[in-house]
Amino acid sequence: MKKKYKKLSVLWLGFITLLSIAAPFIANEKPFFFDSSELKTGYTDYRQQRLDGKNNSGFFALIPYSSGVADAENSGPHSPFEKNYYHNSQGKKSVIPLRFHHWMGTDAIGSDVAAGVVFGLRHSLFIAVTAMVIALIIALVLGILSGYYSMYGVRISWSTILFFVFLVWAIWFYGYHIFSNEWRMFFSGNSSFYFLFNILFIIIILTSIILVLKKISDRISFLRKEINISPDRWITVTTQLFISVPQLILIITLSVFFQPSAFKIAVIFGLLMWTDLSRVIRAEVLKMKQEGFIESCIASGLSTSQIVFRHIIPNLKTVVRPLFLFGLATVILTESGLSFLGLGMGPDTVTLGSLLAQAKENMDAWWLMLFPGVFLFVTILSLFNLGNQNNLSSN
Amino acid sequence: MNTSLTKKLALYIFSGFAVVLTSFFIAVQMPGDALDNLLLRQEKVSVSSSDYEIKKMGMAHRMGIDKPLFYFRLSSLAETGYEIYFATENKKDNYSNLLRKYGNSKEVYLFARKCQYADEVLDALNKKYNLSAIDKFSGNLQFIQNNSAATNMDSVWTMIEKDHSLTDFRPLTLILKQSWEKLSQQPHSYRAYIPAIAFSADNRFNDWFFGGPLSQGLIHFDLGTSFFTGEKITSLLKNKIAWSLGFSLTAIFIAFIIGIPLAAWIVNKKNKNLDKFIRLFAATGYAMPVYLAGVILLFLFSNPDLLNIFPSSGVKPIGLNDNVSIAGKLWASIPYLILPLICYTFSLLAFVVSTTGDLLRGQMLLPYIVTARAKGLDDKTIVYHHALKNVLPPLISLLANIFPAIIGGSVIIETLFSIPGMGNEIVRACLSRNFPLLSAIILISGFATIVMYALVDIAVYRLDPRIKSSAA
Repeated sequence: MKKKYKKLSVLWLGFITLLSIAAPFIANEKPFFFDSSELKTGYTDYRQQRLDGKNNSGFFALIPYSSGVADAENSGPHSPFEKNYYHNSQGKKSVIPLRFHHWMGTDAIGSDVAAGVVFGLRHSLFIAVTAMVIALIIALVLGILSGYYSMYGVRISWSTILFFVFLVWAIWFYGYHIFSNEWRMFFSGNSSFYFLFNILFIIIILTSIILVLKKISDRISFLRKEINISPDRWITVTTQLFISVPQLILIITLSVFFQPSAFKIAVIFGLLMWTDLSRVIRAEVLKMKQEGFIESCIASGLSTSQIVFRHIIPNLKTVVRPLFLFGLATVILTESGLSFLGLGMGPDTVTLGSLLAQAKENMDAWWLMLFPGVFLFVTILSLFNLGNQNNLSSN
Repeated sequence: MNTSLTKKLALYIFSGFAVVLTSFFIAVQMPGDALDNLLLRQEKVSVSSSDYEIKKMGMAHRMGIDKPLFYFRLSSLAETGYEIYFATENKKDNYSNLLRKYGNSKEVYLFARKCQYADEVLDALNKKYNLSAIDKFSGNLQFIQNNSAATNMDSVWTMIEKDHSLTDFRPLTLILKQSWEKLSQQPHSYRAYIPAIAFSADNRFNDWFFGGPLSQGLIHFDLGTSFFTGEKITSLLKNKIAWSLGFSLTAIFIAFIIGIPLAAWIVNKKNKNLDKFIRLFAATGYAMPVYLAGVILLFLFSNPDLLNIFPSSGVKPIGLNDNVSIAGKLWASIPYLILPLICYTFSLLAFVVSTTGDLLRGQMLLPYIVTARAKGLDDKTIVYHHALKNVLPPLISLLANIFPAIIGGSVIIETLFSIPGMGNEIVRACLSRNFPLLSAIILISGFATIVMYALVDIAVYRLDPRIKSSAA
């Protein structure tokens, strides 16, 4: 029974992944045609000819509309069961052929809901996958660092800390601050780049000075004293900082400062979603260290990178997978919520959330609610199902 | 007091400070036209008037915008200590270029101030007399203020002094020239290449936190004024917090009061179909986002075509009389509260029921339950009196994890049902770039979350005797 659900979930996810990858070929207003055996897309004239029944050469995508493109004749929320109209070349209003029917209805400006759903899924999946990959990378680095070094910590002398602080300060000051005007002009494209050589020269001299100073400071006894920095503790503190402001409110605020595009939203999500993952990875690495095979790895002379890449990361798969799937679901839900509020990718981009927001405005247009809602619901449900079952099986 | 608990609470103070800083850096942001807006509204100065820039500068000075941001600032030795607000980018660039070139911050600062003073004098004159000489000198002054770092100034001074039409401006020219000579005669250009930490006690964070020209300060619970209406933010948000907090706390209360006994009852029943149903309920609660649930509820119960039982937006009838008692008001607004409350509670209830059920089932396998069975206790007593008590601490710490999600959900629900709460306000603040309001909401929601975390930690510590004994 459970296996059946799992299979269905995988099938659904595969289906929507295919749908979103092939979205321009599934929902496209422009017809495709072969021009000397080369696939090309053309435009409007052909569409009108095709509607009038005069030209049948090229072929249209499965959904012959793009998302967000207005179809004035069928505008105003337009039910899938209503007749669709178009103006033929004589300017007469006539019923649209079945091939060009809006199968999921249209929204207020007349753009096709089916195309909107396909492209909405594409945006959602792109954002979710990119965000979770970023989050996973951050979480892997931080989680493994904090878990692996939790016992020993890293011993650093005061002189090394001072060295790094001064180095960063010097690079910022001589590399950026005193040449800030030049940098600005450089990026606006109307300046020479000779100041870069200045910067290089200064940095080389300074680094050597600081290195000499470090050699001297190593001799001084109180600077040679070492302190134990546990990455574990630092990462716990950082995680604590990240979860102190509610995530949706933080994302809403950040979306004010950045002109939101799909990639930027994905990066913002990625920078916020790593906390749970890193906590679990850290706990798992700690548990692994107790199991003893890592000690035997160390004893047999493997280097740290070998241990991490060959032994720790492959063993993290079981704990990471459910969280990754839940994370995908969370990102999709939050991103749709963001565009539901009108704060997402801008009014031109149709997403599942923006379609639902339209449903709120046009209460009698059930199709605006049903189709995006069902697609969203089933996607999240299958992610939940997969994540949950893996969780259970690992237990 | 336990040391681990104290450590945790200390961490919350740390995150509280981070929230304050985040909120501050949002509060000091300005949309590009904020000052122009204020000038137009408060002082009725139009953009085309000749003294516009000076008015803008004066406004910035009065609002304290020309101060540095924070106590400490990394910069070079040449730039320390003196901050000045320029209405235009050209003047600002020229000022920093002068600092780089000559490195004596005090003299450069004085020179810039004198130029500004001359600007103001000329503008006052320009209002009274309409002379071509004033325009000419003003043009020269603009040139000096925009290009003095790059050009050879000696020729400029001689040109102004030799111009016979500008004889009336001799004293002003002399003041400026003297200041320039002081600036240029002893250049310390090396100072621009020495890094330094600038310190100033009079800064914007200080004003924002302890009180300044814009507000009474955070420690007096004053969060400034809204950009667009000029209203105090604290009085603006006072009622809205009540709505948001009321809704979310009621939702939590209902979910826990109904959810925990329900889960215990289900575990006690051991009915397979019931279990399946609860799993389905939990999955639905997870996969049904609040906006989808809200739209569906509105479609079903607030739709003229289907069932028009509940009103679709607002929290009270429009023409409600103010003389009605509180109970009467509450009674009148009950139909308005039902749909939002269902939205708030639905997914939370599903989550609480499924998690409590899972936790209870996990407890039922433990040896102490077997012992209780062996003693001859009935199932009801075991579940309600033994297992439930052990499940409570993890359940309450789960509450801390979902509280931010509840606040996030409230943003959507309040926008959907037009409830005059904080969530509704944050969306409007974002759309209108009202940064003081935005920062206030971030501060409040951040602190609410932190307080919730801390309360949950203390509650778990009180409820779970194992934590105490393990630390002792």
